Amino acid sequence: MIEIHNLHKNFGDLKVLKGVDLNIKPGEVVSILGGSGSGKSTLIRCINGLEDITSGSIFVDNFDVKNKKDIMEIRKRCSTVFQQFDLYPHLSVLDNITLAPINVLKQNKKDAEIKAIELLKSVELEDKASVYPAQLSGGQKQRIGICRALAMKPNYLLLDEVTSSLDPEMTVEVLEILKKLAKQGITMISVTHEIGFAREISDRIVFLDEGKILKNLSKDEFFSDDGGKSDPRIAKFLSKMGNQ
Amino acid sequence: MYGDEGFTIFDLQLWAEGLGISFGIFLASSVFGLLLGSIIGLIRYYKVIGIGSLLMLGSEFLKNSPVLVQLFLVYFGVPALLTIDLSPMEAAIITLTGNTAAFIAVIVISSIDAIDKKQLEAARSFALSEWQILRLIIYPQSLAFAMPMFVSLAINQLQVTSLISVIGVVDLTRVGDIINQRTFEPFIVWPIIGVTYFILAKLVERIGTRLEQRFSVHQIRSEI
Repeated sequence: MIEIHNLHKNFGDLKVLKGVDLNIKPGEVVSILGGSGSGKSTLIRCINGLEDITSGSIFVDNFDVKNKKDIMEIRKRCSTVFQQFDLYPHLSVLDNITLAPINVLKQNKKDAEIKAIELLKSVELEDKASVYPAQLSGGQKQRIGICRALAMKPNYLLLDEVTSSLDPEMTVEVLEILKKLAKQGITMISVTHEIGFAREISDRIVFLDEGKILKNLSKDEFFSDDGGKSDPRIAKFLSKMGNQ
Repeated sequence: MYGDEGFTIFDLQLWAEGLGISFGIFLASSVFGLLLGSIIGLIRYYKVIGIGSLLMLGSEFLKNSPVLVQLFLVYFGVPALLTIDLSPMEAAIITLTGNTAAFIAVIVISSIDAIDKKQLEAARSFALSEWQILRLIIYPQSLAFAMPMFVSLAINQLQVTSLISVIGVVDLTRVGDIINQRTFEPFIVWPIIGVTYFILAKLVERIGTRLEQRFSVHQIRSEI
């Protein structure tokens, strides 16, 4: 369970998040939509302590993000997939995936590698195990990024604009994998521009506007004419993104 | 009889001793300088309050003043200031260590700068500790960037060791001077001494190139 209460986040004088309340239950798939500058990426980065929060509270499985000791526990439970992949360029694909399991979860190397190969098979990249990130396409890199995140066996998967750096074809291959994961019951919090994708996988949609949650609705309500779309800002956003 | 005697087998022994001293001082000051310079670079990177910029000021001074002046400062100045005895050898090692460290610090800082910082954040998000990030991610990548610069610095510092002959260390250059004064055969002595430095430098370069290849695997692979 992720519990966010009255979260504020400032960068200097700039107030990015202005009192966000959000709970995410195990097994839920939640998409966070919003225009650029709405604070959606900041929100996801606050959850695992990549950004210090200014005020309010975040608890992940009752661990407090404001407590330095708890942050490591939170990070073991939340894995992030990043917009720019952010793989380690000096390590092979296999070592990219096993680095944290071996060094953080203290798995032995053999076991970690066996699991990594299984994950690679699930994204159809088992032949790339010994290759370095620079030799991969963007879509392949992001599939490795997903494997790296899943290797930690996270309770929560945080997806930070995971397809924004990909061309349409590669976007499809990454989204297919995420759809499969959503069906397997992994809790996902996804910040995205892909409205079609959000609509397909989400149980719930949160719409952020200027640092506040404007709507927090089930997917069906959000996309219905008298639900989310009744708000002019959301209607405008959806039409701008080319979605009816 | 001055300047009138031929070469003896003793000269060969003298040459070997000088070679040993030069290479020994080079090795010692390189190892200590690498350690000290890396520490300074890391202090700077982790922004340890107060001392980071002070150390950088010190290393700027060492980089931008003549090594000979630094040598005199250490050999004549430090014993007077602290009322201690300093042998020429000690003064030489201290000076060259400080000078090497100053250059190493700058190389370390620029090599860490060259790393894409977003991957460090990714590592943090997977609960790796700062120490693990330094050891497993920053160190191997920055070493790959730094290696070519380390090698050219080492070759340069090897030549710089010849300055220590001025304060009376019997290094390879001083040996050349001694033999030359006795035999008065500058066109035999100095080419031999020069070639000795040349061979040493080539040796250092060889080892350096090997290390470069070893530590930059991912960069070589990425160019395929």
